[in-house]
Amino acid sequence: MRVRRAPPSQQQVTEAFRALANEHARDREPLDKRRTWYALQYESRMPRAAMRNARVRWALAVAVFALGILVGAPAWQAWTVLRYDAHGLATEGSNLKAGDAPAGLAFSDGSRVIVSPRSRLSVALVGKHAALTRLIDGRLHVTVHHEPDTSYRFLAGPYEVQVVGTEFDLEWLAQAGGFTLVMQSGEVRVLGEGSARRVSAGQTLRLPGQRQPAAESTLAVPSSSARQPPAAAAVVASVPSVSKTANVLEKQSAGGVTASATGDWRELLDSGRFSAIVRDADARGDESVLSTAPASDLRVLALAARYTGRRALSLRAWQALRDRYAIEARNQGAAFFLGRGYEEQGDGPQALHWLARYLSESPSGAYASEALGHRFLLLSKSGQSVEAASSAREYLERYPRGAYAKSARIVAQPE
Amino acid sequence: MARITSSKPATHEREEDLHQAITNNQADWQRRAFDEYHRLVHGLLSKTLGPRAEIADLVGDVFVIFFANAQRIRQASAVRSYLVSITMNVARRELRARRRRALLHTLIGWPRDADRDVSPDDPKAKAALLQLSRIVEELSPNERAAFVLHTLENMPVAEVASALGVSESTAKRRVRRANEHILKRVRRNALLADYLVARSGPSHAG
Repeated sequence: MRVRRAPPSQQQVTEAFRALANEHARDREPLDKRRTWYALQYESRMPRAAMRNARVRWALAVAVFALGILVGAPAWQAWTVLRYDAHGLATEGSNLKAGDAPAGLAFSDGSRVIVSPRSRLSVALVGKHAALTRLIDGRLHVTVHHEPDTSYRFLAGPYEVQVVGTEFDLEWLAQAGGFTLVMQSGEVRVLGEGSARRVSAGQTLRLPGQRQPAAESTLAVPSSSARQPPAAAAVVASVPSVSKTANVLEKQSAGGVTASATGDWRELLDSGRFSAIVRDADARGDESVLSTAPASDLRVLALAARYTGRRALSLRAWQALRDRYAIEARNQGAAFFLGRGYEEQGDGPQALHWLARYLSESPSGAYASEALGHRFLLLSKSGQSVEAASSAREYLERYPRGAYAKSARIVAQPE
Repeated sequence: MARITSSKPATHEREEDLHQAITNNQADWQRRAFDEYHRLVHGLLSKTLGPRAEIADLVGDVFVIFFANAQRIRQASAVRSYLVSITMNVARRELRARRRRALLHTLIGWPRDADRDVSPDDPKAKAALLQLSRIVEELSPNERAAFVLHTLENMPVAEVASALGVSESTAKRRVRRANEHILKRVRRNALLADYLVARSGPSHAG
């Protein structure tokens, strides 16, 4: 039986512990001393803690770098590279193709391209304010936002339109009408066969297509007496010219009038002959057409008038569509086009009214993001900063990476 | 800088010579300092970190820091206290790192650090030392440093406070807490208590 001793005192514990620890340390010390001195003498070393700290610092630096790449790359890309939202366009290989309704491209720098039905194109983004668009076939209405480094290039057949900030219509019908450029504002440079040409606001340039002789190019200037917008005037002014191309268009247009079938307008729209549609409507009497034409013709006329610069006629056509065919008008986004039309005319209150109307009727419609974007920009321009900020915040919530997100962030900030 | 004085005249002379060598940047001052203080540094680290710790590298760390900064020491009497301060800082940093590693071992299943064999040949002594070191491991790094310097190294409280960079009352409180904890834990372990009593001889106090 083991005899239990009295509990140890503090001193006993201390002395025993000290003796044991010293014994252990003494046993180990000579060997460790040699190892340590060898390491100090022959290994270039720093304290392990310092090495650990250095490793930690390196690891942190690598982690921060990786995090920076992860977070910064998209932000850098968003800041440095142009983006666009395509509305109503289907992909066809590497190309985009519009369906039966007008489609659109909204670029992140504020530039816009309205694509006529059945048009085909491809877009390559090449810089913060630079894009290369190849119009394979069809018609575009282009508005390029101007920045010091803007460089938009549009290739149409053998021709190239270089833009730094302007608005124009571009048509390329490889097998029929050839190249048609209707300038509405600004100036562009057109390269292609022959020397470069400068085309200014109000002028229309026609160049031959692939089956037409090279001599058939014309540059029409606007009529000084015309009350119409410059682009429309240019188109009209070019009609009586001796241009064979113009005559071809005239004949085609006349054919549309004599046939007087509503299906012809659709064909003309699909082939991009917008001015022919407008002239046909003028010949038949605008009021008569607006009050009697079916919904599909009103939509075609509204689009054709818009593309040819006849904004007033376009607005009346959209309005007639709304008055007479409410459901079709809603489906076609008439309210949106009314809003944009009024905005282009400088009528802010009407534009805001119609954009709001469109958003309430079609909150998730094809043009909702653009309508919301234009709404907060209009509100901001008109000094309604509170409403503009609210609308911008709504835009950011719904389209945080949308084409107007950059502007929305600026407008949404409290002053 | 902490200032710990040595009471032995011979030690004092050696310290003066060494300080002179350091100040004059003599060729062998590092070797002399290493020979003079290795046992001290090794013992402090061994007692603070436990008998199973690999401390050769940590001793090397202490001397690397010392060699880099020794020529800034203005008084011979401060050389030893400076080394003690460096050693205890390195020991406490290692203790904190060990705790972090232990937490990682628990959380993500990393392998435990390899243990080193305890040196005494006597199996009972080995077991007692291991059990005492486990009890000491329950102390915080600061309490452990105070315990080693005061209780195991017989250093006065003032010098402990100076070496650890705390007030004397703080040092005293840490020493008291550490001693109380160790005594309480030893008394709970009958075998360990009996061994310590038998090893230390007759009781000096109740």
